Amino acid sequence: MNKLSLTQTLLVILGVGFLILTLALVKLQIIEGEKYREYAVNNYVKKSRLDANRGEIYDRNGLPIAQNYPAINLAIIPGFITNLDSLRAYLNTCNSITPDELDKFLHEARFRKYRENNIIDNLSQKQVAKFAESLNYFPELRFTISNTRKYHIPNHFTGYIGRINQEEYAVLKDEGYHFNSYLGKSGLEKQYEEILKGIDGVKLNLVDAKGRNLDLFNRADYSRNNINIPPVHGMDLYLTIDLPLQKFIDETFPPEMQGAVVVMNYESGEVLAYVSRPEFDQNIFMSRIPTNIWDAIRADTTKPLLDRVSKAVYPPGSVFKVVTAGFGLEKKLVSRWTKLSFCDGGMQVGNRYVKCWNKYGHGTSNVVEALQISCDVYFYDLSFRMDLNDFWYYVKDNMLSEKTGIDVPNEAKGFFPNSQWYYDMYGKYTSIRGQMVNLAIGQGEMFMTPLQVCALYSGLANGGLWVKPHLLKQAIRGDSTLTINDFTKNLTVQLPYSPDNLATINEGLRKVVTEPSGTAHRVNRPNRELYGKTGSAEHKKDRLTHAWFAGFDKDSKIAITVFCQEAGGGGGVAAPIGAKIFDYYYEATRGKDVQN
Amino acid sequence: MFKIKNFNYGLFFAWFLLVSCGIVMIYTASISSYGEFTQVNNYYAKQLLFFLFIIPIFFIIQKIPYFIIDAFIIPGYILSILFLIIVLFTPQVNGSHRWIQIGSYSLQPSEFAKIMTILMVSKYIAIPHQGDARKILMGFGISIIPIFLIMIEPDFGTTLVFWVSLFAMLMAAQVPFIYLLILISPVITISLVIISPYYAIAFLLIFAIILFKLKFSWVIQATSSIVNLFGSIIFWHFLKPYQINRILTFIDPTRDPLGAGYQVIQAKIAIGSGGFWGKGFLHGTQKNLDFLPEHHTDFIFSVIGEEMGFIFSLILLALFFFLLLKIIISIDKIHVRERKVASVGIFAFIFFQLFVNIGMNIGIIPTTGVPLPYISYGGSNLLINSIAIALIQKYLVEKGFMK
Repeated sequence: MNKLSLTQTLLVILGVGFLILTLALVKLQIIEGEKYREYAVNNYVKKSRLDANRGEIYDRNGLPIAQNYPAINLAIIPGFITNLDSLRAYLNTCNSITPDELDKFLHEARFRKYRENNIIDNLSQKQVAKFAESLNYFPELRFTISNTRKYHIPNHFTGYIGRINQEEYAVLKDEGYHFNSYLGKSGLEKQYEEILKGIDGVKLNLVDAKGRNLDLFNRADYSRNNINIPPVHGMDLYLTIDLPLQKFIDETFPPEMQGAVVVMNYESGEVLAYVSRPEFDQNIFMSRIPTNIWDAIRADTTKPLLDRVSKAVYPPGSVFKVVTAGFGLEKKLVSRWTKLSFCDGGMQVGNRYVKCWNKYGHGTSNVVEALQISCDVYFYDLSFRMDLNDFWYYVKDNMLSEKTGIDVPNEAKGFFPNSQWYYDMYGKYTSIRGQMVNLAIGQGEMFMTPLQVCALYSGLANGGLWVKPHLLKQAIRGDSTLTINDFTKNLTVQLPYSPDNLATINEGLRKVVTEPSGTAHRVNRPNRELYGKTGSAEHKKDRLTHAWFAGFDKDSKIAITVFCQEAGGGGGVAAPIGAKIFDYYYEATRGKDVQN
Repeated sequence: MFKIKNFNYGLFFAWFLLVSCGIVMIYTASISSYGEFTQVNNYYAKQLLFFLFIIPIFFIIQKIPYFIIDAFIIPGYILSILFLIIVLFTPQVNGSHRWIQIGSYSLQPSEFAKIMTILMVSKYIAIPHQGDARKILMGFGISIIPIFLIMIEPDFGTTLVFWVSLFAMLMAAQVPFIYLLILISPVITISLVIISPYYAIAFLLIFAIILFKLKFSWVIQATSSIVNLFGSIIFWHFLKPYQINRILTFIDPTRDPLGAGYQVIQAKIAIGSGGFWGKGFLHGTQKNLDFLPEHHTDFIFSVIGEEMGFIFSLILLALFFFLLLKIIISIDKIHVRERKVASVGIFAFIFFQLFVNIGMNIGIIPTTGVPLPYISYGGSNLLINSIAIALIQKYLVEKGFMK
């Protein structure tokens, strides 16, 4: 091969060099031109978020339950951190954010180094003043404005909102959530998150390299490019809750007692009051909770965080007897007039003597009398005629070991055993008969929520038509309105009672109130049609019984369940509370349309 | 027409057109406008003034007798080195001492050193009947002083221009390529070390085998190996963090999009978004909204690419190609050995600056502070690059013979 001359070499170098440049230009400008055009637009068009307001929550009268308030937050821009050690020390002393917490936070924010990551939400005025003093020394810290939530009454049904966490953000970031977003963590806030949240809008600004807003899109000559998307605010929820009633119950319920009260309209299934005690104030979740307070809440043996209305289960005691009675009547094991064993304060079952609650005995009674005086012996005797598995199905049909489907998430299902369960639990040769005696009076291995009990009594009041309890009356945004029907199907279930048998049971429930020997006689009010049943459920040795009262008022069309945890007898403790609620509501709605 | 024999109109007009285009492009680069707000800098006016000042110089050079130019080489070289020393005592601008401020104008001594070093090197290595080692030592010795001074300014990009010119001239002086390879091997190893030490080791092994096969003396083999090994290791430590950063960011520009990678990414976005027809004169968004840094100097090509599109970028490349082609043809016609070597040096430095500048604009070469010849704003640069063309034109008409 001939050696290249000098000029030939230079020509080759020149040719190759220009070929490389031309090809690179073709790739950049022609092949990838479209992509870079998009990048260029992204460069100068800065999208900013127009936050949608979260829907507020009101009661049925339009009284506020949860509302939005502006909040000042402290944000970190991790990319601007100059002295990490001093920031660590500052936040540690100033707001008890430990260095570990800060490191974790910065790690989570590592892909948004130049964005404002809120680290402390909803600062108090005192904190704002404290931080404002030293913000000059920390260019990475700044205040941001957002909305926070204020809950006007402590309650267990609205739940609360909280900052989106790392896992939730990974899933939800494509659904319009921001790393500083809040979302419903429990209760109605969680259930109706989708409609409460709204859709954030987008504001487009023309910016230069230094981020200066040139405000061009708002001018006439750019108006054809005006593609700002206004936010769609969340829907306001109007609940079925009657706030004055809720507050009245809050005040009436003995303050030191744990328990739950549910009031619902038995025709519509609307829950008018939803009280769980002890209550706790969700507003503490709206700002940073000091560790000691949080630990105290969690260590509290009264479990204030527990929603006792729908998330906790208890043995129902005598309020369950209507189901046993209904089963006896439906399966034709007894009739309205059948009298069962003589009650001398108890009865002999096999080799043991089971007691009635009244040690002096009730004599013989039929089903109506048995409900009226709550004679245990009648139901002990009835249980000998029953088959557990049939009963299990019957209980299921009464919607007792089923979730009611109320629109508060994480509802407890309740529990009722069948023979298989006993076999699994205690072995093949366990005496189901002995267990049945207990189950017949609503004790033993059966648990239900106060809400389930209330729904059952609503069904009894409503001619056997069980209505799904719910809290949402309407969700409103502008002209559009959603009701509970848009969220759930199968609102009603026919309970397994024939009209005659239902009348018999209702007669019993009526006599509980009206007859002087009835266990809830002190609920009786002349000229008013009140029904009820008390219960005192034993659950542990040497502890007071759970006090229950379940009843309904045919005048104002409400069903009530009062549950007092370890408080004593149903007639003495729970029934008077129920009576006060009946009176209050009757007074409050007299002359008004009950349906509101 | 100018009473110049053998006047190379192609060369002249290619140069003239390029500088004119440059002034037009500096005009758009001087303006940033959005909405009703327009900000105009006077860079284009200054550049036009330089150009009007340089055109007579072009012709004056043609009239200066050779002996004056030859006599000026050594003092000019010494003078430029003096300036390079003086510039080190001026205040820093953007982290380096590059400019001597005279009134509202600033002088860039490294530009003058460029041409003087080329003339000086060509003067000495073109002396006939001297050994290759002597040529290399001469060229190296002359170049190393300005390179060292510019290195401590620091201005890494410009020193590369010196090296490239030096090697081109040594090749033109018929120094075998393998010697040059030995000389630049440390640079290659250093570059490879930056990418991956394994590449560097592989290169060193291959290089050692080549040396062995070509039967070089053991002295050369040993020295080159040791220099390569230790040199690259030591040099790696001497490289400024920002330089390492630039190279690493070049390999992965998204590594730090707001830091070192910012310029590369924004320049690519500008050029790429121009597409085939461009966004229109004065209408580049990247430029107007100031996303492009230094868009009247080092990154002027991205303004061209953004506003005028692929079509004009190609025309500009063609103009450059034509100019360089004309230079190569001239080199072929130049008969005086010393001039020929100098012309190759000039070709090398223009071509290298052009390639590196456009390459960094379109993101195929790391960011080095090298301007685009004839187009970028900068009086010293324009003056020197124009004098280079004037010299080639002058050499072309010299009646000489290969000595």
